[in-house]
Amino acid sequence: MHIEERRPIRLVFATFTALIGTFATAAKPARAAPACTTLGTQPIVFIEAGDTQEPLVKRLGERLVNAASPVRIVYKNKRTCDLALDMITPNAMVNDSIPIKYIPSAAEDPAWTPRSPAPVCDADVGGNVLGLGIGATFLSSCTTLPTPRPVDLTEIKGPVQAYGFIAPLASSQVAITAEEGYFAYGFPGGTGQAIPWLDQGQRYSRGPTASTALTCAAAIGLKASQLKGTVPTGNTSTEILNAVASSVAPEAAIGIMGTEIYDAARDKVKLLAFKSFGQRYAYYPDKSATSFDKQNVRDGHYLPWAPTPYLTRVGGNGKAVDLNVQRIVDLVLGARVDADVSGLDQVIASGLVPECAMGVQRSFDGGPLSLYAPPESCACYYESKVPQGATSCATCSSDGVCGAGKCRRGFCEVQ
Amino acid sequence: MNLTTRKLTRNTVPLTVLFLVGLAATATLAACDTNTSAVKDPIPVVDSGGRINPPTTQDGGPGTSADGAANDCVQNPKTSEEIINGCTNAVKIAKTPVLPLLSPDGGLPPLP
Repeated sequence: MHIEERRPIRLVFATFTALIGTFATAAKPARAAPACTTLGTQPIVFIEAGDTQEPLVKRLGERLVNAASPVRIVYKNKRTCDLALDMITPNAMVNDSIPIKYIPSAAEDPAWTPRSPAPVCDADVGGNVLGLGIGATFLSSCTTLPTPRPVDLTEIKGPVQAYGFIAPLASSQVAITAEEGYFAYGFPGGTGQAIPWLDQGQRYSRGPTASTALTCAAAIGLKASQLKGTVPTGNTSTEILNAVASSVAPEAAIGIMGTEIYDAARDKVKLLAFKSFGQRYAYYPDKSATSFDKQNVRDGHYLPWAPTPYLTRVGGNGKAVDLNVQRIVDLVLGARVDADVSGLDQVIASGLVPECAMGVQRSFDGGPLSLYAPPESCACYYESKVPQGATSCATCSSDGVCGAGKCRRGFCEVQ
Repeated sequence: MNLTTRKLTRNTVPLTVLFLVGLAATATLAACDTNTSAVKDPIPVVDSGGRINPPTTQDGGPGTSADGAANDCVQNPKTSEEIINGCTNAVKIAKTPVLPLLSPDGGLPPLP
C-alpha cells in the first residue's frame, strides 16, 4: 500500500526530469563549427560543386592540402544550375542549410581518407568569395540562368561525367530503353505502362536543377522538370542510393545517379544497361557490368553523359584570377602535374573520364555525338589506370617506338 | 584402373547428368517466361567465332554482309546514329519491350 502511494510521485518526478532534459537539450546551442578561414595557414579555395563531383573534390583536396605547396579546399555540394547562378551573380559561400565542408590535412586528422565524411566549418560573416564552381552537365540545360554572363566569368570543359539508371540488387531488370524511361518517368503513377516501373513512389529522381536529373531526363526525351518521380527530402544522390538499395519493392524501384557514385556502391545497387533512341542494343557505361573502363561512354555506345563545366573568374590573360584555382583546373585537365599531385590520376580514380580519353563529343544534353580526337590523347594511360585496368597499347619511353603515335605517360598514344 | 578411379567415374556421371538436366530446365523456364517483356539476364550476342559481337563488312552504315545477312553494327561509324550502333567488343543487351502507348510508327506520344 505504501509503495502504491509512492508510484504517482515517482511518475511525476520521472516525467519532470525527462521534460527538463528535453528542454535542456533543445536549448543547448549546437556545437559551433570552426571558421573555415581559421583552420590553418594554407590558402583556401572555396568551391561549390555538384554532389557527383564530391569524390574528385575530396581526392584532389587530400593531395593538395598535404602537398609541399598546400592548398585547402573548402566546398559545398550544390546543384549544377544553382551553383552556376552563384558564380554568375556572384553570390558568396554562406552558412545555410547545406553544410560547408573542408578537407583536413594529415596533421589535423591522420585517419581521414577521401572515403571518410568531410568535416564541416563555417563561412565568415558576410560569406566567402567563391573561387570555383564545378557543375556536372551542360549549363545550356539550366534554362533560367541570367544572360549575358559576366565577361570575366569563364567556363572550362572538364572531365566527362556519366549517369545512369539504378535498380536494387534484388531486381531482375538488367536494361532500360529510352522509350521505357520516357513512359516510366514522363507519365504519372503507372499510366505510362512501362513494366515494371509503374509505382511513382518507387521511381526516385532529383530536383530539376540537379545535373543528374538534367542529363538523365535528356537521355529519355524529357526535361528535368517533367520527371514524375519521388525526390528525396534532401535531394541528394546519397538518399537515392539508399532508397533504391533498401526498397521493399525491388522490381518497381528505379533511380538516377552519377556512375562514379554507383562505382563506389556496386555492392548496394545495380546499374541498368541503357539503350538510346535509334540504338539497336543496350550497353553499360563500361565494357561489361563488372569493368570500370567507361569504354562505352568514351566510344559513344552509352549515351547519358555530359562534360563537367568549371566556372571561374579570369583576368585579361584568360587565366583564373586566383592562381590556386588555376592550379586546380590545370591539374584536373592534366595540363599540369605536380611532383606530389597528379590531377589526372585523381580524375580517373574518381570515376570520371578525362577529355583526353574521349573518342566522341557532343554540344548539349542529349545532343548527337560526333567523333572526337583529343589533341593530346591519354586513352592508353586512362585504360591502364582504371580499377582492373589493362591496355593493349605499347609501353614506351620515347616517341621513337610509337611510329606515328606519341609517347606520353609511358604509353604510345594515338597522338 | 583401380577402385578409386572407378568410384570417381561412378560419382561423376550422375552429377554431370544432373547438371545438364538443370541447365535444360533453366533454359526452358527462361524461354517460357512471358510475364514481362523485360530482359531478365544479359544476353551478349555471340557469333559463331565466339566473339561477343558479329563482324560487319560495311563501312559507314548498316548494310548486308557477303552472305546477305543484315549487319547489326556499323564499322568505321561517322554520324551519331552510326556511332551509337558501331561495332564493339563490349557486352550488348537485346531489349525490345512492349510499350502499349507507343505510336504505331514507334514514335513517342505527347506527355499527359
